[in-house]
Amino acid sequence: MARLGMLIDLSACVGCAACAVACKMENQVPAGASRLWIREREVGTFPDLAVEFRPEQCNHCENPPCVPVCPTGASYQTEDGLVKVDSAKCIACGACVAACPYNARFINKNGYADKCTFCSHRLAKGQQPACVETCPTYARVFGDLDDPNSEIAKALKAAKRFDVLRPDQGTRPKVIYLNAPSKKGLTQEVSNS
Amino acid sequence: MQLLGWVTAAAFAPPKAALEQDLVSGTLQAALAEMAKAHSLPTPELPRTKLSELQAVYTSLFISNPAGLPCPPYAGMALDERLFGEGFDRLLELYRAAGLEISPDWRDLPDHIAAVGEAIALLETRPALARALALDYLYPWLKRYTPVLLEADPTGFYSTITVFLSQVLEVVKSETATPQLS
Amino acid sequence: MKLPRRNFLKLSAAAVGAVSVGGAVTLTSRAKAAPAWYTKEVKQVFSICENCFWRCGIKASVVGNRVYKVDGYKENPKSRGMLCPRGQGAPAQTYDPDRLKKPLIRIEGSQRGDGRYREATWEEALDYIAKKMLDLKEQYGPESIAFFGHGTGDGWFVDFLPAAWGSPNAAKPSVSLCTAPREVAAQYTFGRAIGGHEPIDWPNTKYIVLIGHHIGEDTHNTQLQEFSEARKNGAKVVVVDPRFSTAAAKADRWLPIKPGTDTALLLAWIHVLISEKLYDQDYVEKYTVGMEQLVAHIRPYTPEWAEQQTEISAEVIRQVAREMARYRPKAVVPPTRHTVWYGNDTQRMRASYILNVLLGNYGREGGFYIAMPPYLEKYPTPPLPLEPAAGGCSGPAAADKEPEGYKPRADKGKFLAKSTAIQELIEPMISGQPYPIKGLFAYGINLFHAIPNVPRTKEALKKLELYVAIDVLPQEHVMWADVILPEATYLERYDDLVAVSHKTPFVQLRMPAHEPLFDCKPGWWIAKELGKRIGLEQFFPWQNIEEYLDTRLQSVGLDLETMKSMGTMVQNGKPWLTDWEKENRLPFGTLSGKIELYSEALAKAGFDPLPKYEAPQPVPEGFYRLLYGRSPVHTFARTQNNPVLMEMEPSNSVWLNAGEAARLGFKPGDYAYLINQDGVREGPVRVKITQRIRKDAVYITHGFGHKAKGMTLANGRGASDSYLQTRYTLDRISGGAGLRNNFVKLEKAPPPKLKSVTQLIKERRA
Repeated sequence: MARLGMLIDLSACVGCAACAVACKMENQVPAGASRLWIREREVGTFPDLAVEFRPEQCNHCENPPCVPVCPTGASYQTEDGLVKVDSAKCIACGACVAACPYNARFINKNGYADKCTFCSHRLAKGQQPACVETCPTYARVFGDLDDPNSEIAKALKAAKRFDVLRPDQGTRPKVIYLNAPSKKGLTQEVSNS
Repeated sequence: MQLLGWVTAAAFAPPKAALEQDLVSGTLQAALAEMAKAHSLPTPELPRTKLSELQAVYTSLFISNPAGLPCPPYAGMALDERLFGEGFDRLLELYRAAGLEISPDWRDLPDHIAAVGEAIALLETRPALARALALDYLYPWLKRYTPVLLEADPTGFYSTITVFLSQVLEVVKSETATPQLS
Repeated sequence: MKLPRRNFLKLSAAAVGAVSVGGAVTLTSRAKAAPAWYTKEVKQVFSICENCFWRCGIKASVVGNRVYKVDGYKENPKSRGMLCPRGQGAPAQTYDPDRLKKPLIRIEGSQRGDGRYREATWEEALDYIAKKMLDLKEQYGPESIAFFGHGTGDGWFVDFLPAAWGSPNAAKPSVSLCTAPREVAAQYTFGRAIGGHEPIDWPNTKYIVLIGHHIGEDTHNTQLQEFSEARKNGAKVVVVDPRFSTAAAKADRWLPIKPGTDTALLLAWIHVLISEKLYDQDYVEKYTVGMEQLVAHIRPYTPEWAEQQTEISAEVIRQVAREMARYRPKAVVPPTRHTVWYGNDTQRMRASYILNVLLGNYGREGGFYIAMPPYLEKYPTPPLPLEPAAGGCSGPAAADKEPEGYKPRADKGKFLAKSTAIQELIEPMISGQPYPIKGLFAYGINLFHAIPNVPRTKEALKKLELYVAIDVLPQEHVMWADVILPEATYLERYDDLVAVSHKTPFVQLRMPAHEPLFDCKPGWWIAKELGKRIGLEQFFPWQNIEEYLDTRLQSVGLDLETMKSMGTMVQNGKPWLTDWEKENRLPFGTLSGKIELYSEALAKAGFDPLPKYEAPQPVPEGFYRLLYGRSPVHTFARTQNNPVLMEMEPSNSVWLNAGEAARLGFKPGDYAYLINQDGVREGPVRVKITQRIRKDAVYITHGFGHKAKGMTLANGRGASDSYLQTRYTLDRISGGAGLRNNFVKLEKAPPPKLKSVTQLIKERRA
């Protein structure tokens, strides 16, 4: 089975939020909630500066802490590496929201936990996730990390540097950031969305 | 229900000669009095307002306002917090099931409160549908926007009507509620 | 009692639906997650985005009366399958409950700005306008009505209608408040326009110098895509900007130049290329005139001299010039777009073009390509009395001399260029000089957020006898009009075909995704209906827009039905000099037929034939120069009521150098008032304490500080650069209004008491 993941090239990303808006529209994400958001941070002092524009979303971790804490089994992982929620089973207890170290989940007011699904409905039709399709800087690549012929596997292999968020948490995230602008890697403060 | 529907349609359509006629002839006030009697409520007094004043106020409350449209007159806004939401879809289903069609001359959305009012009035022969329309589509809008109108309507015309209609529907609601088993 | 019927609905003859609603059962049971739009029957139509002036080709996904998503499509050379955030978020505007819904007429006796209106039918509103127009024509002449506007419908209201009516006072803000200097300079140098789709061959370039060019914050889709491609292909980037912009964050070098001194830098680079003989001598020999004069002229403009002006070291200046030369002709200094900076901008652009020419890149791969317009015939109408005067992104139009019996445009004589300067047409509304302007149409333009000196604009509006606004949102200026006509939004209408000059010129179609909501009408219908009433029926011989479009498309071997299934029609271009030389021609429309380094025409008109340097106005003590730019999720002042985009960025902030912040006592999270040199106060606006800007300037993004409470979400958020731009410096060649000679000081401010955007979206009121 595939191991689906996403690369985001931070040297290309300009933080324009096309991906975040496309996600809002495609998935009708309610006001006040985000499945995908952008962080912008500056590093250095005048005139030696760098800026990190960093999109964040559910990382579809290989070891997702949001799954074992779910009391009803609504939160689950698919064989090809997507982490999803079955809204019919969800009781909106919020345990998964608290368990996620990336603040990727929120409770949808219709009574279920909600988050990025890697646009599984589009994948089923052979399309790319909405964020990937719209990105005007070619910063995103999506696909099967285990397929050596895939664009994503090749890009990852060729990358000079790659990082993930909060590697200390043992979640093994599958959203991977290339070419972080700061020599020290990703600015480690996680979003407070 | 028919009177309630008619009053809603008459009051919340853009004020024109027809409304002026209803005011001058006292028809609207009489309708309110009859409704009040039927539900054991005090009769509301409609403030006397010139048509031009009503027009200006109506536009600023329900159509376009340089200070932010306070009361979008659409049932969907109260149900879904936006236009064309799920409540809107359900209302269209209900119209369809009831055999109601929107006239092409009606240049506004089908969940406009005036249209909902007329639908209620038209369903005289199907009281259950009329009641569902009134309680599930009109009442939430009244509840949501009456406080806004009390603050934003300088004439008191629209707020008087919505306060009264809310009271009527609260009575209707309590009459049809399932009695609690003690 | 007998009740008079209101007729909005009617009972259908085919009634009798079985509906399981008995007693007091309410229809509330439903699945938690309502079926998503993409599980329903989705129709797709081709259209053109309207959320900025790039106008990407889009596919709109429609279910019933609602567009849920728009996307680019690969065949369209603008979107190429991708969209920027504004494009993605644009549909939210169509379903905004605040949008204009019905024609409105200002209540008799009320004041402009009071906001007191009554609903009217289209017939009544159009009759009202027509009568007033004809009265004004009778009393003052057709030139007494001005037509301002911008947007895809501006073809009807700013080009066609005024030319048919007989008014030369038609103006687009995109000219004198944006591109005029670069267009006029290009006409005098190349005899060609730059055009709305900047003709830079990004994918092949190897060295890019961006001067005040905010790529990445300005999200012109294709440009951003191609810039990213260029970088992926190894191109080097140099950014010249007083601020460490997004583009600077992607650059190999950032030159934090002193604001207003860019021309000095350009002249010094020209100096190095010439003195070190690094320029393309063959190219100059073959394609240009005036090199001799340029060599003599450039002598004093050394890198050492430029260092004094720009605060960039002479060594860096030399290094960059040499690097440019190393990569030429695949080294380019793109022309940017908004070039009205300091009032001497045409000459700065002349210097920029001269530099590009010395690199030999005009008409060559990796540099400027030669953009050609697509072949497409107009719909045949009787000849218009006047030439359209407004120009546009492609620059100056209009004749030199007005025809017999018609007055010249009211701003004639104030500057050299031939197209109108919108900000110069305000004064005649107040003073009546050179002749009175008594009427105004405002189509889509945001009068109080585009034109500088807002108090003057308000004074002018009060004096008009007729003011008509055609728009989609209740912007502040719209609610001053005598008649408000609600246009259907871009997703609900056809428009004229959009023709794009390009490497591969193309024509795009906009078709409606669904019928207009409420009582809104498309611009073409409004123009035709108005035209019929003001004696211009002969200029609208087509029955409807479908016929109009079908006829035009037949001139390129297509028809409307076929075009609806294509969206875009791409033609062949002539992008390189070699393509022209094959035909024994050159593409330069100058008098000499060559690129004019030295401009005889400018000299004849009394201006410097070669660019000189003019030091910028100094910054007053205690003030900062007010610089401004774009946010990637907003478009000018039009998107600040779009709920999706406002959630992304609810306000602007003022960028303040960290050292200055410390000196003034600002801490993270503080707010400030901005007070300009004339005492105008804006804010409170959040202070962004940053290392990313010099000490002598502050920066805000444009489009905030809305005063229109009808812009429910935007009202009162942030600061307006437009309100602070009470002064402008007129560029006497192009008519451009230089906006960067306004200065502000900062004062501590309490945080504003505003509800969050999310809360307002949920409440949907001010």
